[in-house]
Amino acid sequence: MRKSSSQFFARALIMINIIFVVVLPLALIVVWAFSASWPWPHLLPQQFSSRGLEELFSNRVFGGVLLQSILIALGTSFSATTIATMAAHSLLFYPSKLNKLIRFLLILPFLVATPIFAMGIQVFFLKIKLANTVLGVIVAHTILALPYAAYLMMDAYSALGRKFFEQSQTLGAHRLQSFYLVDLPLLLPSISSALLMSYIISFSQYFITLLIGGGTVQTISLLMFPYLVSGDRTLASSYGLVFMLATIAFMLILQVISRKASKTAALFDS
Amino acid sequence: MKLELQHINLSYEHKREAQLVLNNINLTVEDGSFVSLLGPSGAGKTSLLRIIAGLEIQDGGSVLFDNQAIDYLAPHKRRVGYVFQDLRLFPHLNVGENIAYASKIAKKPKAFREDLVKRMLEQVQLEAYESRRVSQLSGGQAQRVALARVLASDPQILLLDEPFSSLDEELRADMRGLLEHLRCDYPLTTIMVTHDRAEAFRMSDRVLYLDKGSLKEVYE
Repeated sequence: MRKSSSQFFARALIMINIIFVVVLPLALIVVWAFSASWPWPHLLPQQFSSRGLEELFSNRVFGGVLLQSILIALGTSFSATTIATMAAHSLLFYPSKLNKLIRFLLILPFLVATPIFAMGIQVFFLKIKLANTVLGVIVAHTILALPYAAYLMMDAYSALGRKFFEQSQTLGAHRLQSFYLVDLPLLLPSISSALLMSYIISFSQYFITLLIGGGTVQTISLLMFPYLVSGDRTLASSYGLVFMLATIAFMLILQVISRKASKTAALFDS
Repeated sequence: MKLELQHINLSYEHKREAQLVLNNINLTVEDGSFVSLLGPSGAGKTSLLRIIAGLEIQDGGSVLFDNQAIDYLAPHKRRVGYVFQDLRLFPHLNVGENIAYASKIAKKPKAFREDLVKRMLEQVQLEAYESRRVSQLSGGQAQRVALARVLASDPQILLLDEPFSSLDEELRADMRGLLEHLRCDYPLTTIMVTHDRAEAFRMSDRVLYLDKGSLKEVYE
């Protein structure tokens, strides 16, 4: 009895936390996106309007910038997750004295403050002519997202181990087949998480996109920022809404793909 | 297939010191014969099987199949069937898919694979289990599926690493019986690692004892 009541309180506390820290701020964005006036000390908006969304969709560059943001985030997501998976595979399968150093280098972008890191990248990218290009922004975002993706994949690989890969090899599959048919389906939940994490990191970048993209590579974050600074919360929240929807849509697509891919019986039907 | 190990050496680095695991191992297993390998834990029995399967590379010496050195042959080309101690049934595939795995890799036609799965399940007396998830199998059933899967891969050499260690005595007797029955249909060159001396003498043509890196013949 005591246990169930303490469980109930623990769950209630977690729920309250989630509501205050996650749900309410997001709900506020949605409400602000449709508010014309919400003066203090009123608890609710005094007037509603669709001005934010109308201005957003009448902005001629909006569609192109949204598409570019999604493409940059997708490019970052796939490149960071691919590199992270390959690194995690190598660390597990090829033990070496350098492994500790490689692990450290993988998380280095996470340890160095973004502005310092961004300046270093910018100087280097200017030299190799990657600055002010979409590819340069994708590479810079990939470097930033890599520590998160790498940690997810290293944890997943160390939990999976080499055992199924080895079994697959002794059954006649070469390394690539063993990865594709055995490790990949089993790692899919972690791969999905790494993809989503990298996508969100890329989509939310402002400073590094501005610095590496030099203002010529526009993303939703760059479009949204001036409205946040100028205090136009309606328009900033409208951009925020698009931001949320793009992320949620990617998450749902990943879930559908994961679910379909986990039914790997299809691999054996043909 | 005749298996030969010539002057096999293996050592691991532990706390910056090389520890000798296998010391000048020489062994010949004639085609179709069944050899059991006894020895204390950590004696190097599993390492020896892993070297034969190509999952580990020896520091020195050579592995020969029918007098041909295969030291540089990748594991997937060796045709060595390996039943690991922890069975390693693929959790994302059902029983039939696990058994058909090797023939799928070998690009055998669907009809062949279906027939193979049916035959192998009959051999291990699990006819109704083709669509079962491997997580739904008991220990004994999982052992049977692992055996069926490895035999379905058409190996030339069979390695069994303590295949019955997780089973109770009744199931062990069952599995021993099944393995002996399967040996009539699949007279493969086999090396089985076991801790059970009686089991080793009952099932094998030869029994070997591996300790402190050296291999000795054991007689009843």
